[in-house]
Amino acid sequence: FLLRFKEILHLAEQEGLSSLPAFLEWWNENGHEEKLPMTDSVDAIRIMTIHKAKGLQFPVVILPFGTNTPKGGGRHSNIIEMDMNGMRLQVNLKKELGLPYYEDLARQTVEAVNVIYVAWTRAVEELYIFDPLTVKPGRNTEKQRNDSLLAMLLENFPLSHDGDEHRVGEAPTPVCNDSEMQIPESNADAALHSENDCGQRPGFVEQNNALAKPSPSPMAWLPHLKIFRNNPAAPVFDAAARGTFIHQCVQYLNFDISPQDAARRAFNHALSHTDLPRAKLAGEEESALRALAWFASLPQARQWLKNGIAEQVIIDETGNNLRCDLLVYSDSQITVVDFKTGIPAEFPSPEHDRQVRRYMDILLKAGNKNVNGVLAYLDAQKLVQI
Amino acid sequence: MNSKPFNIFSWHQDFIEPLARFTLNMPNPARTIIVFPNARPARFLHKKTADLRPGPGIMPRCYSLQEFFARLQLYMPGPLLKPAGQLDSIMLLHQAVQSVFAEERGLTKKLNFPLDSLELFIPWGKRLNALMEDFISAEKTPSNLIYPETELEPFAALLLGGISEIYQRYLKLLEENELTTPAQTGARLARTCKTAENTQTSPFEFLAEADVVIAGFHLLSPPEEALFHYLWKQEGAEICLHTDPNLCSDPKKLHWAAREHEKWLHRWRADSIPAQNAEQPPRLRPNLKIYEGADLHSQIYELSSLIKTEQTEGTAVVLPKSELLLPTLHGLSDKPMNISMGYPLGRSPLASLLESALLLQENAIPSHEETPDSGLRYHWRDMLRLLHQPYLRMLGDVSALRRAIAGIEARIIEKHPYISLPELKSIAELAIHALLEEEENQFSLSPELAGESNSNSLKTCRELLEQAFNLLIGGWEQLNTLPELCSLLSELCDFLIKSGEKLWDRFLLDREYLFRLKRSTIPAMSETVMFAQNALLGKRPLFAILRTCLEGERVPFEASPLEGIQIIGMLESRLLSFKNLYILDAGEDSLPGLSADDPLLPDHLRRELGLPSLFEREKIVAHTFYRLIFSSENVNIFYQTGSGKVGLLDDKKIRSRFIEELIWEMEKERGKIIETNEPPLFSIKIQPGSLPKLSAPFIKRTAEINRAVAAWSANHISSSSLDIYLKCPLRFFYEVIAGLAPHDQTPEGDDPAAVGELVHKVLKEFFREYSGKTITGFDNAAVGRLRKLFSDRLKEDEISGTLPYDSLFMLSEAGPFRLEKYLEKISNDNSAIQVIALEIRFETSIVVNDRQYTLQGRADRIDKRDGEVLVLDYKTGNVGIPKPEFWDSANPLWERMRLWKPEDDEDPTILSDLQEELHSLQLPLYLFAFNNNLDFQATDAAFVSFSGAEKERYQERKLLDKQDESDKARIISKKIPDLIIFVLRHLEGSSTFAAHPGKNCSHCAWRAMCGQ
Repeated sequence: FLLRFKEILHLAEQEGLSSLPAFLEWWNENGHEEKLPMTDSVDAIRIMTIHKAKGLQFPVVILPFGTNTPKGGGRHSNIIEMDMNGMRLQVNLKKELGLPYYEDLARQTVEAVNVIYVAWTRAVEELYIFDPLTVKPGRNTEKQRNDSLLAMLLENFPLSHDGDEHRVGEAPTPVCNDSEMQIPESNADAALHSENDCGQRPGFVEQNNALAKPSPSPMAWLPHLKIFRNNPAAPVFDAAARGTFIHQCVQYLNFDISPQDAARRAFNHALSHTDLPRAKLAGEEESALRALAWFASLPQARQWLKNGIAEQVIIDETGNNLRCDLLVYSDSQITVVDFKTGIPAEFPSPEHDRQVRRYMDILLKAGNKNVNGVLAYLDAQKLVQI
Repeated sequence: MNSKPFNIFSWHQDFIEPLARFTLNMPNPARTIIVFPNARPARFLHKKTADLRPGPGIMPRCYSLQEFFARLQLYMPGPLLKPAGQLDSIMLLHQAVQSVFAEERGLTKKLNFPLDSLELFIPWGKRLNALMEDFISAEKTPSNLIYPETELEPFAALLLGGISEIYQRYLKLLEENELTTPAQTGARLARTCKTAENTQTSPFEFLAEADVVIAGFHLLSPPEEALFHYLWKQEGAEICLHTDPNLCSDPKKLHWAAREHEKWLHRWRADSIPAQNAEQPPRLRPNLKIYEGADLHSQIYELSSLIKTEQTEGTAVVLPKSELLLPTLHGLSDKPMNISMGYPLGRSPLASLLESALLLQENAIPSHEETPDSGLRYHWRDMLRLLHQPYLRMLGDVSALRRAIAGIEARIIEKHPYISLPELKSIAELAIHALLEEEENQFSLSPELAGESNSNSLKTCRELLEQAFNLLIGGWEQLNTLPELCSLLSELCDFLIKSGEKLWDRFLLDREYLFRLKRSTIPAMSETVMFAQNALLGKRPLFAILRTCLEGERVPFEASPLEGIQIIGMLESRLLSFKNLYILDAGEDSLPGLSADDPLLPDHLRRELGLPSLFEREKIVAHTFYRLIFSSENVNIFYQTGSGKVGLLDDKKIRSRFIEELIWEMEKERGKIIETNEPPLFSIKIQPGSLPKLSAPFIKRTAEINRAVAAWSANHISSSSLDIYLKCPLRFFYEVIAGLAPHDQTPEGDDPAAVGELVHKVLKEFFREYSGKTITGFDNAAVGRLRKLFSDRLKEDEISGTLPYDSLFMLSEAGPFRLEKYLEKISNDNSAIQVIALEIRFETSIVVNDRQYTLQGRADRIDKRDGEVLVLDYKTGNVGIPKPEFWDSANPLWERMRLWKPEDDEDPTILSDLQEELHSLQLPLYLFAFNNNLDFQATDAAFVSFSGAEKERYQERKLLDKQDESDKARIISKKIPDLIIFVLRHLEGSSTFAAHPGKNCSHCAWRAMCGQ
């Protein structure tokens, strides 16, 4: 039942009932109509409505309420429009409305006969029909029985095959309701022994005991989920973001045009492909263009970008991935170029120096003979050979 | 350059490892560029490469197609254009449509579609934008489509009728605004590639020294086709396909899902060779098991039992639809998991919070009709929906905040249906004040508990709520421009992040939702042309924009680290393979998926126009599905089946046609139909545990309760509370002894209690005129007076403002009608009636076990007719009176009542049995009270019923009907006192207050506490 409840929650969310009050409102109104589903192939007696049985067949069919006769004006009866003091009103069909009610009753009767026809024709080998004779005081039971559809059927089609049987069952001994009201022994004890607890819900007590082990806090698993964690609290734009952006721009430099044009074109291209806030980046335009134009004007820059691969992944001895800004290949050597923005206190900053040496070390260990390293300080317009 | 044959990697084994070997064998692996359809395979390839070649090294450079395109664009001739976002495109299309149909205002008026309404246009704009992209991508210029209006929405027919002009105008607007769409960029790229191929030039400088591998593509879009052809033909790129190996060896046996690859080879007149696959021998078929469950959660239940916690390496759960993510996470929560898939932001609790803020505004009414700018009033339900939002309730000191919100909710429920923001704030102030006071009282009673912390956190709550109300309610009231909307959303994000603090370390998914809203959705809005124009759009178009942006946003969850069970989307699984693969909910609705009915251009028309249709989508899904299962080792597929609609919300589902095919292939081999529970087809069995039958709940009476009962009964006992005891002792305990009161809720539906009061009031006033007089019948004037009286009192009554319109209308018609019927009935009785008292109070006493009880009550009317004195009580609800046999001394109840003793509790059902026969103690109490009156002696009492069954309506249902005079006298003097004495004895002596479950439960205020 709990599994099914989860399913209902899931379906309700899909239908747009995504807030607690919306779901509860729906549940209060409709929850009682929910049912527990079974697959078609479960090896068990299948209990279904006659409507659901349409088109199916079974070796044995049992109809527990096989001969119910229809009543007019039920829950599903039609609504008709009628005139009240010149006003059109929609009202439920009731006996008092006369002809329309009886027409509807007749229609429902025909429908009921059809439904019963469906029910009686589903069995291949055996059909059991239960014809409930509720003996109501003061009513002619014989007449009731003759009124039933089963009686009509038996009249027209008397039981003739071997094994056909019409048996009048015995009324079961009425079950005393007392058992329902009695408190089960164990709970009565529990009630006696607990002083503070002045009330008991017998059905629940036992279950609570069974589930007494401490339960983990709800959704305790969630923090252990293995997903990449972005930090929403991080500032949308800072020096690091500016740096990433200028890195991006460098990749887009075109050396067939003037350094100034190349810088502007690369800046605009990167701007239209970035996830960073463009308004903030636009504020950095002047300094970025200066840095890019300087780099584009370097004689070696073109070769670096033509022969280099940006954001190249290298792996260290333990299999960790590292990303170089640019790895430049030429016939005899590999050059690691790392771009830096901002102006450090000294050139190169020890930290940057360590970083590039680490890349160089890995490349040497990977079997490359001639490895160089360059730090390109874009804002400071300075190249530092490592 | 000679074009290379395609490398065919068999889909009966993994793709990534053989591909890693393939690239390592290339002349210069470090200078190889691999282009994948998506970003994910790169991670797996790097990992595999590192495994195959341990030690430090340079990895091949991997690009997703999207990254590769962005890189190539730089080398395309022409001006650099800004990419148009979806919102930009919708806005420009709106302009285009307005200008195209400018001359046809009359027509759009007829369609009831004001062309200048951005809010109404946005949903169409989205579809129109998608269609334009398809046309641009396919390099087709649309002609106007005249389509019968009856088969399409009228507005869709209008748009299609002018589609050619809209297209031209839209392209012009894009150009004027220096914008380009993704399809235009793709088309430009395709043109660049075709030109380069024809002129044998190499426009993409950065590829000059690199070896390009195009890996794992299937169906190509026109730009992909042009680019890859150029790279293959001119740059010597390698094409690697993961597909049916029969493509090289035996094309006749080719699986249909690999046909597209065959067509590709054919189109390019290319050869194919089997790639040097890894040493592992290819399998021909995975170990397949198929499970059918009754619903999604039964599948997840089985899934959870199949996956062993300690063996999650190489295990993936593939979800064909994103909405399966959360149920799956909950179902597998005892196992380590990572997620690699996108989830729609629109389904997140964050979107739900925003939606409730939008609904609040949309359903609001102006505070004052005359001055609409003076603020808004919000419906209480919308307000509750907002207050129930988990994000709001989890901020700051959770317990203090929840207590404060509970206090606010209780006060909102009692208030008028509409409240304004200032009112809400003062309610919040009251609620927090009450809590602070409560705390102070507690501390004064037990000073050792006193501390600053609680009251401090309540004070912080006050600030938190103030901010939250401003950001979720106040801020939205006067929204006019897109920049205002963006800045409000940014502030809201920052507020949630800041006041949530550590919360977001725990709620990881929510953390990503917030990140996405802040870093993607808001920028998507703030970087549009519309944003820059700062136009006054108004609230509703802004809401439509926000909803569109939220709907379109997907939160990309990325596995990190890549350990545990991989929860992965179907599309994200492209090119990957797994040792243990589980595919959930493989229904026809997701594999291949149903056509999303496009009201603008039906699917069959798309095919006619040469645009991609469902047909193409099916091909892609089929290839993804078969590649995935053929290349994985142990494959478990789950689907939902069932005999149709069971619950109210679920649809009938059928298993995917792909599963059908897998089974059919096996059936052909076996030469027989495969029944369920015959391998590989299993049915998931979940044995529903039977729910324990709940006995009626009860409260055990303690000494303290007994003291409370004694204190209560020492005062005047009202007849109605005694009647409550008879009906349900537990309700009596809650309502009378414990003094609990149900929440005073804002009435929204019918209000039977108020209607009852109104009828009583009207009848009292009407009969006052007749007091002391003798009535033999009512003339038309009297009837008219009564009808008018009812109408007048109804208008004055509060319910005329609170009842829903239809209920009020029915009451204003049915009320006078029924009262008239009652007068008619009295007239027809032809008896002389003398009204001797109206709304008369009584007080009487009775001695039980030497203790005197004082009983109080009020009767509606007392009549004298034909020597009989009748106490009347008006009822607008259902009434029941005992059958005549009840009073018979042979009725065993009388003996049971006499024998009942509190000590032995041998007859626990006596009270409920009595209630079932007697129904109510009210009329017996009247007879008892008015039996010893000085002026008159009541001889019978009756309910006057204004509703209920037809034959009972307007009738006076007498308590002692059908009894002769001597019986009546005996009942009044003996049986009724016995009855009252028994009920009082029971009330005093019973050891419990037990519930009487029955039809009264349905409208009992304590129902929830009973578990009913």
